[in-house]
Amino acid sequence: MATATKRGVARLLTAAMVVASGVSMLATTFAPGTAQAAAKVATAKQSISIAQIFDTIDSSRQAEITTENSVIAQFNATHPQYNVTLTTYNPQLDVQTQISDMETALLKKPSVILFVPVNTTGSLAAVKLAKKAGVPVINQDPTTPESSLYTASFQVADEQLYAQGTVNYIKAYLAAHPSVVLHMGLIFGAPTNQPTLVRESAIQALAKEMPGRIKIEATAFGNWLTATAQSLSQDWLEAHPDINFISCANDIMATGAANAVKLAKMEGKVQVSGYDLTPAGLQRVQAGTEAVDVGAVNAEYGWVIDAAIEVALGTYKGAPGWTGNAFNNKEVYEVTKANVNKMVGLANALTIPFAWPLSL
Amino acid sequence: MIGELMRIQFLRRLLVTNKAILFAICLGATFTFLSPVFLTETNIFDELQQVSVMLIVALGFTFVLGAAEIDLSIGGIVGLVGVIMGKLMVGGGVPVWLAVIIGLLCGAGCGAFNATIISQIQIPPFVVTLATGSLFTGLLYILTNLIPVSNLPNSFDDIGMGYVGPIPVPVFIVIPLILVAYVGAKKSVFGRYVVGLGASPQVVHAAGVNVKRVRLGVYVVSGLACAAASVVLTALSASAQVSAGSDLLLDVIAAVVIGGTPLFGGKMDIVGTVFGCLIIEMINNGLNLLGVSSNYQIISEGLVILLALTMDVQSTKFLANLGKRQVRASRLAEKAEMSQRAG
Repeated sequence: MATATKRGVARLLTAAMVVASGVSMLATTFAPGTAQAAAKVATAKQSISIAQIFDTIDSSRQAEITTENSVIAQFNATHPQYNVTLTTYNPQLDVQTQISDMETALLKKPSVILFVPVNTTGSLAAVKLAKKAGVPVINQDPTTPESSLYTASFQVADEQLYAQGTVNYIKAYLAAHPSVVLHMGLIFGAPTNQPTLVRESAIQALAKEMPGRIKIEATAFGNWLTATAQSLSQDWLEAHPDINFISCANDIMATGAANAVKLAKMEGKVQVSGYDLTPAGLQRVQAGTEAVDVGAVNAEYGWVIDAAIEVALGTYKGAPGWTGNAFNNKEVYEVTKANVNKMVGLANALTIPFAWPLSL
Repeated sequence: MIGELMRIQFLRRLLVTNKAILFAICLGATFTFLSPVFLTETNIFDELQQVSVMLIVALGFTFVLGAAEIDLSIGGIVGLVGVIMGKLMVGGGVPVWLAVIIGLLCGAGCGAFNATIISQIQIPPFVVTLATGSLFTGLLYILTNLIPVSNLPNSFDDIGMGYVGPIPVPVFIVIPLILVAYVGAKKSVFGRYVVGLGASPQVVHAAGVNVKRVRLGVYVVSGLACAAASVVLTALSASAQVSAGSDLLLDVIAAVVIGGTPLFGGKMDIVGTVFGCLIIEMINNGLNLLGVSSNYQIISEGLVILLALTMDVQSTKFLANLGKRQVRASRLAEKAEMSQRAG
């Protein structure tokens, strides 16, 4: 009897739960005022959804995303008629994953896509999908010539300018020290990350122009890892005692190179250079253990949101800051001990106001 | 006859117990010949410093493979423990010794977590540790927001970057760990259970051994080893990097297998693991010293590892033939002795 009662109560409870779920679902769908409320929200705010597909998300990209979210928050607050949202994707330097991320992004029907290709040619397959779906794509790492698949391009600073920053430092150093010959070790990023290879290959080109002043003793891929760059640097300092400059394609690897120089007790004798203006990199420049750190100020990467809004609304043509379909800021900073104290504040700023009036 | 028997026995002993040592000696000799700085004191100590992280992880991994298990989460554990220690020391002001202990406990905890899921939910270790590796990596991404933790206390950095005389401090950490691992693998009951589990889990179970407890021990050892390696790596890098440990897995597996521990368990060779790690490190170091291009280095590493494994297989076949010759030689020796007595 007791078991039958228990079973009966259980069945009653189950039925009650099913009925309650059904009623609440019907209520939310058909309740008077709900549809009207939704329509009111839709007309009150114009939705601009931005999908951002990176090549990979590391600490620099994470800082960019933080900046972009700040720009979006400011924009939504000052423009209540718009609702801008951002979704990011991380293909981890894999072309196939990037294509898959594009497919996922397109399912959500974004207004515009920001795209950092893993591979200049391989990643075009992803861009083709967006073009087929009629979604504009902004290339955040454009090359020359640029593919016609992209609607527009945005550059805070291109890789050529990045490389030029280190090259400028080297030229200035050699001019100031006429008797010095630089024996260099070059640590590239990852072989699959083609656009960034120029950061070190530009130095190889400079070495060919100045064969009596620059000798490339060793090159290798560091795969953006501190430990790998540290091992490489340790081995090179042993194999090539003349090495007096190790150039790394980013500050994370420069950490490893600086550690190796410290372990070899060669601080002051071997210079290290890096990219990206990370807090650790700028700290090393202040301490004198990194000779030059080249990069764009993170806050200026937030301007990509302004560019994306203009492309989403179709107002970018002829808008200030644009040259045809290219938005190119061309701001690159070469940070040395001479200017690092001025740069720290700028490098740590979360947002910098857009340099031009936004076209809406 | 007796002379030939003794020669065969000596060769057999040499090849069975010391394959990785022989290959390491050959490799070292080759690089010494090719590079004048390979065998210098500085380079040797640099190599020992660089190999310490992989070696510590490989010691723990030997137990995992010996038990016919697998742990694909080692990279995630190394990275996560480094970040936890870094955050405790820098953000939390926790003393170095306490942060290290907490880090070691976290590593053991990660290992215990792996073992619990494998044993209780009965999912294959390959799948579980692949998933938990992502879990640990994701946790470290969330903890750091992808920003490395730097400005660690100097006393912590000295664990990786300090020297006692010319000898790097990590060497003094690795040597006792090798001894502990050797005793654990060869001389302890736990070590025998691990090998038994790898060779024949049904027999071990039938003998009344608690298989789940042995598995827990194996993964806790692996987690502890990863945590210890993370202490050295984080100190060596003077920072807790987000990608720390991400490139360890394949090198560790290769080192342990080259060292003589089979992929499918049933045997543990700690000495072999040590020399397997030295082989991997010598390949990287030697090719860097020779200035071999990165593109060719990747090919060279693969070829040398294949050569080591081929030599392992060939020497096993050779051993089998030696065994037959040994049996023939001892029978002939017996016949000769009997003829002598009869004569």
